[in-house]
Amino acid sequence: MPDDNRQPNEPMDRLLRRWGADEAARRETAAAPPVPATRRAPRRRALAPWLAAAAGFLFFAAGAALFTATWLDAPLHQAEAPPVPLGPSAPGPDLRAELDGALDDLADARAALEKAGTDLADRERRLAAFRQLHEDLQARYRSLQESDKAAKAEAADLRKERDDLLADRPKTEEQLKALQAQRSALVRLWREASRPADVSLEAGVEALRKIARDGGLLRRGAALRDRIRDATLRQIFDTQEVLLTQLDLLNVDDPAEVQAFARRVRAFEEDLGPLDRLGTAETDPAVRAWLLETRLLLGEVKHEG
Amino acid sequence: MDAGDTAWIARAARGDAAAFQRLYAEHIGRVRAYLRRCGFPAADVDDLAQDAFLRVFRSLATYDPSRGPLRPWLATVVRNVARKHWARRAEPVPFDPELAEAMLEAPDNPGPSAEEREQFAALADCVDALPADLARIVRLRYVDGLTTRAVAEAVRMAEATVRLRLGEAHDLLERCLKSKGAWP
Repeated sequence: MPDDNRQPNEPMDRLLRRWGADEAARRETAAAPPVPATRRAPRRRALAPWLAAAAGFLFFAAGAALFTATWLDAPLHQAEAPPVPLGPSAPGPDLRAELDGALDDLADARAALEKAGTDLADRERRLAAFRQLHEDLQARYRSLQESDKAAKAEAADLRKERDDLLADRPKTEEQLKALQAQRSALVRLWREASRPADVSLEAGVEALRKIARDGGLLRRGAALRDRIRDATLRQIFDTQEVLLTQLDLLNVDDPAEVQAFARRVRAFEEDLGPLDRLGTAETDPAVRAWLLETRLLLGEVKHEG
Repeated sequence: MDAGDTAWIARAARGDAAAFQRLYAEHIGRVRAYLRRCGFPAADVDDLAQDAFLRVFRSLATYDPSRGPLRPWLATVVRNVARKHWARRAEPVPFDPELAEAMLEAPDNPGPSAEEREQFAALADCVDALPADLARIVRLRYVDGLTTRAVAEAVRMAEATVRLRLGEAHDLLERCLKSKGAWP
């Protein structure tokens, strides 16, 4: 039993391939037809006048035969009866040339057909590309339409929001006024609760100093100083702290000193203006509370004065 | 390709019929063999070869000998013709592309050397001396360029058997060539 896995004889395989190619080429060369007609244009041009003359002669001969047949009153088919032996009388080379010319024409027609096919394919490709472009543009147009709709909807929403805000503005202002009134009422209540009633200036100032000491205002103020970033607020803070320190050190038994302190407090009040200046929403809440508490307390010194 | 070939090609490009004849005779065998090895029916090979040579002759003026031998240029034309008519082949066509391309890959006009010619002649004798069935297998494979599968179909054998028979033929041919002093 032969070995199915044995290695092929490569040198022999290569030799057989070269030999086979040579054999095939020789065999096909022998089987090949004669050289094909290629560029027969000059011969075709030389043939053309001959063909024209022959056609003219044949036309003339046919006319003459028809005339003779009619003149002799003989049936036309009798004049045509003897077939013209075209084969034997036609010259071989001319027929070959004619055949070559026909093959040339066929080759030209084939080439023209191939070119037309190529052109058609090219136009079809361009048409497909144009269709694709058209579809892309349509899609882009639809996208832009969608974007336009979305933008219009957003603008409508913004308009409605603005109208709502404008409609709510009076209400907001009323709420603000109510809050301001509420704060004023609270300040009045605190003042009434903390001010000693029907006492002398000295006694009133001493009572206020006790409130300041009990509330630890100086101690709390020292801890809050570093939290103040705004320069104007720091200036107010420093001034209030100075007045608070003076209050703490004040000799309340000396009416002249108490009166002088009360005047400084009033001057301070006029310089600083209303309570609204004691910081904004961004101010630290503990700082704002200290400023407000100190201010109200000093304000009582002014009232006492 | 020497200066003489270049001159022939130039004459052919100018419309010299004798030069055409020489180019045609020189290359038609390999062109036809390539087409046959590609699996085109015998009835189509004449048409396709003629089509290829018409294209060659029409565009011969565009061939520039300084850019390389004629055979690769010719091979490109023939391959294009074959590709355009690929659908005319019988389906399925089990052909060996390597053996088909071998017909177009040979350089221009070297022909086998005298020594190789002698070896080819000895080999042809040895093939003829093989048992008939082996000789047929060898010719189908190496001359007709069929795949082993196509050979197997042609001789109604299993493909593995065809491979074994080819190996057997290789050994017999080597012994034969050695006996003739034609094997290195």
